[in-house]
Amino acid sequence: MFDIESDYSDLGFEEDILPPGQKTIITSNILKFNRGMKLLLDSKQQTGYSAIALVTGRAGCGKSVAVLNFLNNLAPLPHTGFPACVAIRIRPDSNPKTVVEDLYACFKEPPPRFTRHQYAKEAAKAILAYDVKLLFVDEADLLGTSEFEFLRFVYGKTGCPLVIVGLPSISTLINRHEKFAGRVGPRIRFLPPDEEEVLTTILPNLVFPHWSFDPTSEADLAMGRELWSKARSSLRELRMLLQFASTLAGDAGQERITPHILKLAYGTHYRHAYIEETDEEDSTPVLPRTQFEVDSEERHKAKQKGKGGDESGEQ
Amino acid sequence: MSSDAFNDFNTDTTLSRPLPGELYQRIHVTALKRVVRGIQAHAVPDAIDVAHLKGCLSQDGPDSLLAHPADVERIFAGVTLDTIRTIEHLYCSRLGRSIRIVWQILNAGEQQRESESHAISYEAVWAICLFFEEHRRASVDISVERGKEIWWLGIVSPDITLSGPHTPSHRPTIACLVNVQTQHVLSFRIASADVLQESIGLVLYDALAAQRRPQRLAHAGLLWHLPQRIVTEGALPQKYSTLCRHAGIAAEATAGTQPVLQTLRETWATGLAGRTLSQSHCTLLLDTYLNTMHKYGPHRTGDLRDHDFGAAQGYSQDPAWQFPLLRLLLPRKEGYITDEGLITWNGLLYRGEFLHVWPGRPVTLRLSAHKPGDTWVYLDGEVFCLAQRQRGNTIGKGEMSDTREKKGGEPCIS
Repeated sequence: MFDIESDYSDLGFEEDILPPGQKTIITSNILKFNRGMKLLLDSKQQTGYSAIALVTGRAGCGKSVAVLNFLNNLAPLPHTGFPACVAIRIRPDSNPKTVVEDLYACFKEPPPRFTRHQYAKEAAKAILAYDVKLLFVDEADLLGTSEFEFLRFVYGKTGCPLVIVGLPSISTLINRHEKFAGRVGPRIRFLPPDEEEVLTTILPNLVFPHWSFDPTSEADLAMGRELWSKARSSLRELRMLLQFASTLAGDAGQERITPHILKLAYGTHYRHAYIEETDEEDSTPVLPRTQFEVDSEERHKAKQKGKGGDESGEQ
Repeated sequence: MSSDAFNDFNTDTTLSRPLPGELYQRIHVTALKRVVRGIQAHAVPDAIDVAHLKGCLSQDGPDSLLAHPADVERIFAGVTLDTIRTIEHLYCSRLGRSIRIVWQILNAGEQQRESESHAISYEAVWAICLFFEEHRRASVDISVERGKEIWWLGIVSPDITLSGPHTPSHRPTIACLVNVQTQHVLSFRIASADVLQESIGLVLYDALAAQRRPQRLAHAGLLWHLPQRIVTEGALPQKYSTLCRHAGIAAEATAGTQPVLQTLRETWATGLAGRTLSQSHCTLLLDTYLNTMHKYGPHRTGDLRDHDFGAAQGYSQDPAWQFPLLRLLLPRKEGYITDEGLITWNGLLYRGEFLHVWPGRPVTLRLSAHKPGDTWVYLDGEVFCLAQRQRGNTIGKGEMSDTREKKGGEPCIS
């Protein structure tokens, strides 16, 4: 859904942009997120009251993709030329000035000349000027005290609902700012998808070279279960495993990713135990080893030698 | 008659003694020569026959214009050096007081002191004013650059409701002035349809004021760029047509429209249909739309221009002070002078020069668009002074708060 040609690709980070051909997979989290955003918008429109929503979830569970998917489904407003919702991503060196700069960048406009006393006023002005109905603040766990106060001012001044997106620890951080916490309404938690959703919705819709998944095939389902368990319930990790498996399959001249290729891919992943030998029961024929496999194995052996051969702690 | 006299001082100094008769005669003959040349011909005293003077001048030369010393003494009775200085101060100002107003101010001062015998004749004031004519011109002249642009005035009526804490909800009309060549909306005003004429005046004012730019050798340091023609969708109100004629701008009506106005009606207004907005939000949205889609938001561009030119001589002053004709585009209100020498209008009080000498007189106000607390005061249709709103005091305590009155009284929201 969020492809490279998108008008909003420059709003996101390269990491969040799905490669060509890959549509956003509509997971239960995304549906829940979209419902929450609709509720927030409808509530503002129907009652006139605004609220701050909190979206939390573990790293890699698809929060940013959900935000970008939501934004990408919005048409520009005829009276502003921009969508009604915008997202800013908090930088590691974030301060009110950078937040205003990012906000103006959403409208492809250079920030106006202002003094440090006018940051919040300028941000509020931009929100009103472009008739923004929802402001997403991604990576909000990087927010500091001054940015919380800044956002609270902007929220109070404009009545524009805010959606704070971050790791679960953001809840604790927000609770430390009593005035801000008091304005937080809906809380949406991104839970890891269950195995069934992974097998029936996610894996069949992932687009990688050499990857195909048939949810009706028992073999594929078994491979999917193992893959999901190795991904440790993280969509990002799942994507990374398949990314390397796809490359390995290509190097080995395989038509499709097999359980054996996947095992090699697990081995490339630092968090998983290196699989030195293929399962004896595995009927997959032995494949010619790729250069990557050779290199990986040598590195692994060297590492084991250095640590006395004990890698069990890394499982 | 003197400035001291207005303050009830009665000093007997060199300044308050009559000047030599020759000097009065010189002032008088200079005035006659100038009126023969057609300067301030509309203000000539009844006793002076300009046609006769022209005949005398052509037949007998300049000396024939000299008045008899006894007549000069009679005409200039009561005139002192201080009087002359006061007249110079009142007349040679960018405010642009007329000779009659200067005379009325002087005589009103005399009447207040109840010393009718010291009243100064109109002819004396007229002669002194004409004597200072060059100085006056230097004070009121402006530098104008005439362009070939055509401006287009159109009205947009979006289906939105404007509401605010101090104003009843209403459906607005938006007067827009477009530069036909660039398709830039040079200015716009959002207001209720009831005050559309005021909006048209203000939109012209804004567009003309936005054309000024600093120039070192120009009068008052500013050069005013005027368009060649103004085309209006529908007839331009008579008062503005007259003003355009005075400014040398042709005005004509048409039935057509401009692409940018069509876009505003079809896109911008459609996007906001059914919405309820505050006036300032609506203004911000329109300016942002124009800036984004048409590369020229009049308010944003104006802010940048003000930032760039703010330090230039005269630029930050009220454009209506610098270019007196602009005052006629400002909203006109009727007030009167209170017994305390303040002007009251719409529950607001204004303080200004010489007001105390005409208690009870009705006055016309032109509310400044540059500084909402200021107003140009007109007596019998002629500019009299610039008054400032007195904060904190209102007529009829408890009826209206200062804030509420301010909202009602201020024509411009920027």
